This record gives sequence, C-alpha cells and structure tokens, in this order.
Amino acid sequence: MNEVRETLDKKRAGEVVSVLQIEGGWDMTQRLNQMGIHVRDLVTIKRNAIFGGPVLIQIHGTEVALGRGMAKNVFVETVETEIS
Amino acid sequence: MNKQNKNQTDILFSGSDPEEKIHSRMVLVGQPNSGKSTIYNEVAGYKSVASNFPGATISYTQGHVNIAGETFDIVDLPGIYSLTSLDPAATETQRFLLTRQVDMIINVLDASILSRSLELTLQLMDLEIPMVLCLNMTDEAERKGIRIDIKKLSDELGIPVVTTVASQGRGVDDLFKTALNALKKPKKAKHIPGNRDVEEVLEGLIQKISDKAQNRLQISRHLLATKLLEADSYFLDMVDRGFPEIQSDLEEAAQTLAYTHGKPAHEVINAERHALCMSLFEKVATLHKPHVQFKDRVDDILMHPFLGYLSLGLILFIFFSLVFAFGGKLEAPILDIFEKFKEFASAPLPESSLASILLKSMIDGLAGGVAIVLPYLLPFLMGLSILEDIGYLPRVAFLMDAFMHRIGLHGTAVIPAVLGYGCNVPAVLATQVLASPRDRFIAAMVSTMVPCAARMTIIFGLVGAIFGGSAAFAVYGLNLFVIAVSGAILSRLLPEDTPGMLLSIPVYQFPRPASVLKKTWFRIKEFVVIALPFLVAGSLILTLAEVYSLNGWINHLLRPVTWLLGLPSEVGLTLIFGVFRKELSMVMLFQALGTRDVAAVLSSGQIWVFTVFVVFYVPCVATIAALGKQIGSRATLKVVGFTFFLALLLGIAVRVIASVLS
Repeated sequence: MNEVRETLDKKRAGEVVSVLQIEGGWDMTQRLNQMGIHVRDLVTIKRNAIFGGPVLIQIHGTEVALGRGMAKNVFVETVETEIS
Repeated sequence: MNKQNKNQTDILFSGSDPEEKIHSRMVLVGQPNSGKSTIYNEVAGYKSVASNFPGATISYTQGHVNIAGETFDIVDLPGIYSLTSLDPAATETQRFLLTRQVDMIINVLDASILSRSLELTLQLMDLEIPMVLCLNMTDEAERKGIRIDIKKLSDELGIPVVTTVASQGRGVDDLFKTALNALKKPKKAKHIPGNRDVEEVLEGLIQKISDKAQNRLQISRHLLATKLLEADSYFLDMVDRGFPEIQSDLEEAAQTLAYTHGKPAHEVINAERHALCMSLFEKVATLHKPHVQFKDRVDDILMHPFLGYLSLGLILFIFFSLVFAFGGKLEAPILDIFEKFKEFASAPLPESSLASILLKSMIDGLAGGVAIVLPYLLPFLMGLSILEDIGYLPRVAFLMDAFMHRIGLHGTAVIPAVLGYGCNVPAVLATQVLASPRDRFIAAMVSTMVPCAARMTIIFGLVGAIFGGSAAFAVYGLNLFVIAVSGAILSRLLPEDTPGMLLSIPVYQFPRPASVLKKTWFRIKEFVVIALPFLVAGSLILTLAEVYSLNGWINHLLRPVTWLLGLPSEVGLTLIFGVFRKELSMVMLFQALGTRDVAAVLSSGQIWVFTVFVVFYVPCVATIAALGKQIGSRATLKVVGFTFFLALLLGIAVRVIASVLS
C-alpha cells in the first residue's frame, strides 16, 4: 500500500485506468457518481488538455469532461496503456 | 408537505395551477440531453427548447397531448442525472415529482448510455408512480454497437419499454399509446433487490417509518429510506420538519452500513445502485463492433490542443462575420421602409400637430427594434441554435475551461457568456447550469457585461459607423479585457471553493431545421413581446417629455453623470431610456440631438465616451428582472451598482485619454 497515489489529472491520453477512490466528500462523490464515475469503474483517458484545462474521459460508452479540480479528487491506477 | 413553499419556485413554472387541472398528467423525466424536449415537441408543439447541451431545460414546460381522443397534460421537466438535490434544475424536478400530481412518468433514456441512464430509472421506480421506459436514440446505440433486448429489460423492471428515435419522430406515437395503456392498467414496477445486508438495513429503516409519517410526507417508504441514507438534504429537511422521530434510527442504520462496508452510507447506497445497473445492463445488452463514423474523428480537430483553438477562433469569426453581414444588409432597407411608412402614415395629419408627432415617434420606436436590432439578433440566435444542436457548445466549454478559471469560473460558464452576445436575459437564466451560488453570481455578473445584440447595434451604429469596423472591434476587445479583469477581481473577493466543471460531451448531431427555427423563434419572441412595446412606449414618452418640456428636468437630474463624462446635458435622458432597452440609448440619442449625424454634434471623444459608458452601465430592465429571479435582489443590486460605477470610471478614463490624444 505504499505506492504513490495517482490522480486522474496526471494520466495521459490513451491510458485505461481503474478508479480506486473518490475524495472530496458527499457533494463530489454524488456528482461524479451521477455522471457514471464510480469506484472500480474502468475509465479511458481521451484527452488531457493543456494550460491546466480539463480531462476528457470515456466511461460507460460516453464522454465526460472533468475540470482539473474534479480530476484531482479521483484516485486511479493504470490498467493498460493503449498505443494510439 | 412543502406545498406551501411552491410559490417561491412557481415563478419558473410556466404551467397552470395544479389544483385547476382536469386531465391526467404525464411527465417526461430523464437525464440531460436524452431527448425529452424533442419528444415533447413532437407531440405538444414547439414550446420546449430542445438542444444538444446538457441541462438546457431550466424551467419546465407544460402542454397538452391528444392520445386516442383523450387529452392529457404533458410536462417536460429539466434533465436530472439522479434524484439527488445537487443543483437548482435537479431540485426543481425532484420537487415537482414529489409534490405535484403526476399520473404517469415517461422516463426517457439515451439508449447509447444505457448503464448510466438506468441509475435514474431505478430511483424513479421508487416513486411508485406508473411508469414507461422510453429508450431513445436507439440508432446511436446501434451505431455504438449496443443491442438491447427490450423484452428482457421490460421483464426485469416490470414496466413497459418502448424504443424511439425522437429526432426522426420514430416510435413516438407508439410511446404514447403504451403510456396510455399503462395508465389504464397500471403495473407495479418490480423491486430489484440488492445485496442482502444492505437490503436488511434498508428494510429495518423502512419498518421504522410509521403509517402516520408516511401519510404526512406522501412519499414511498423505500424512496424515503434510501434517500435518507444517501444524506440527501431535500429529504433530510423534510424529515426534520415532519418526522424527527426517525433521526436516531437513521443514524443507527447509516452507522451499520458504514461499519460493514468501510465507507459512508451514501457511498454504499450509490455503489449498490451502480452494481444493480451494471448487472442489469449485462443481462439485457450485447456489445458488437461499433461503426466508426466521420463524426467520431471530428473531435480530433475540434478538441485538439492547438487545432481546437484555431477552429474555435475560425468558427466564431465566421459566425460573427455572417451575423454582421446579414444584419448590415437588412438594416438600411428596413429603415427606409419605415421612413416611407412614416411619411405615408403621417401625411393625412396636420404637420407638427401632437398626433402627427406622436405617430412619428411611435414608428421611430418600432423601427429602432425591427430595423436596428432584429436583423442582428435573428441570425445570431439562429447561428447559435445551429451550433447548440450540433453539440459544439460543450466542446467550447472544454476548450475554454482553463481560461475561465482565470476569471474565477469554469468551462460550463462559457455558455451563458456566449448567449449574452445575443441577449442578456437568456444568458442570465442559463447560469442555472452552474452548481454553486457563487459561480452563478459571477457568471450572471459577467453575462450582463457581455454586449448583447442591442449594444452591438450601438457599438456598430456609433463607433463603427463613424470610426470604422476596427474601432468597433476595439470596443469588443476592451469589453473582453474589462470582463476578464472584473472576473479576476471578483474571484479574489469570492475565493473559489467550487467543484469545477463536470460536463457530459454529447455526440454530434445534424441540426434539424424545424428545431433550429422553432428555437430561434422561442428566443426571439421574448424580444418581440417584451422589447418592442418598451421601444414604442419609450419613444412616445420621450416625445411627450419633449413636448411638455420635462426632459430639461430629467437632464438636470442626471447632470452630475453627464458632467463627469463631459457629455452634453441632453444626453442624460437617453441614458435613462437605455435602462429600458439598450438600443434605445442610440435611437434616443438621435432623437435628443435631433439628428442621425451624431458626428456633427458630438466630438470624437464624446462619441467614444458615450459608447463605452452605454456598453457597460446598468443592465436593461428585462435583464435586471432575470437577475432578480436568478440570484436574488441583493445580489442584483450589487450587479447594478457595480456596473454603474464601472461604466462611470471607464467613461471618465476614455474622456481623459481622448482629451490627451486630441
């Protein structure tokens, strides 16, 4: 359990990650949950914008843009890296 | 019950009083962008604004639908992701479902996002109201390679399921026939049990809800128990007021769940529901190879870190160029028609009689709206509707997110800001898509500073006409700069504690002409209905003030402002009219100065000062009303005060610069 904890905003386009934990309390969890992002879900990173912009992910067959502040609350681990 | 609270929210309601209703009521509920409004429009006429942007419906729309000779009330509710009070739109929908008479729920789902959409479905089933499931956009699901076994889904849930492609009108008739049948012979939705230990805790809590409490709260026990464990403020408040006895049982149940699952009860409930949806999805859907289409590749350019911004600039440039070109072409000929009409209409009346003067001023007022504003507003709103229906706006939000953070907002706020270029009223109302009150306040403030079509005509009619197009664009540049600085200052004063952007990016759609036209009409109607009467009345009042020499008095009252700005005192009155409708300030300026050739009467510096002041000072009456509704009267007062002093400051600055330069 002493590995470095990584968040969604640090991931690059093409990586497939599994959600380990969502932080930020009731509001944050509810918001992410209702957009289909839950612990143990698989998420594909589509784009990671420049200038501290949002992260675009694909989840359950749809695309969702997360502002950086939101992405920082989603702890993930990489499952595979697509060659794109 | 909080029926007594409904008056506060009823301002947003366009429907009639629930007590008066005689028909059964069907309600469209679904996640944002699932096609509810399209279905509504298909059956009830174009009163609801369908768009390809999540959270487009901010207030609900009510109409009638005729099925097999029987009339039903039909309501299109704002899209919600779940039955949880997280933002105003969701609270609105939740309140409606829980406190108003609903005889049938038509749950509209985007079939291509079935697993996520089912989460709302399961919560709606808890309401224990007859329900039909409408799997919309099945063509898109098919394209994504998702095939859904309708019969199995219907069996699993215990409610009828209908497939539709609402954008092509397919299956909508069938949907309402099914709804009618389901209303006649209501079937109870199945309860889909989850994990045993969670079910036990829920069941335990349900047992504690007494009949008396249930009667008082008028809500299904299962829903109440679930929502209480989810710590939803709406239900907690309800219990606080009407059923405080449950508090200790609730705490105990929540602790049990948290203890056995190692996470807070609300997360346990959510995870449970998610697991149910995933297993349902796996039971009813099979995955095939998706058809990759051109539209899947478009985002490689439009959301590209470099090409994306280039495209955005290009698209906006083309968009505004077309708007200006179209508006410019129409403005002069329409004005000509009004001039001819004015001569013709006033010919039988004696020259310089009061009747003749009043008639002429009335026609002038009408001309101001129809010839000066409408030619620009119309193509703007139409173009925006097309961009919206295509689904481009969420991409703009994605691209602009990082920049919007500099002014204390995030990407989602780009939508109200862009709408503001057409008219500030829909822009202020659109701030509802933002979750936190602080974001809504800043976004509303920023939106009112965006020069709307009316102010555009002033910028182009004065600075643009006299100093050329680049001067007009300089005003826009200055405006953007001032907005950025004001936003940055505001965000310092109100530190950011907001969750930031979380936006579903929809699939591109071809815009449908009918939808675009109706949407444009819907938005332009507000201008025609509210603005034109103001224009005509304003024109009349100004003329009357002149005839009875009241303008001297008003101008005298406003002398401090005009003196500070170095403007002639006759201008004072036009500033008052600008508050009624922005474009009035220019029309009235012509009238007050007695000429359209402003450059002959005012110096270049004065024209600049006037334009800059009018662009920034105090939102128009209609916008102030919208602000009051959206952010409250105190915050509105702040916006009015802030913009007034900002405009005064900028006006003085421009005056000083102009006097140094000349």
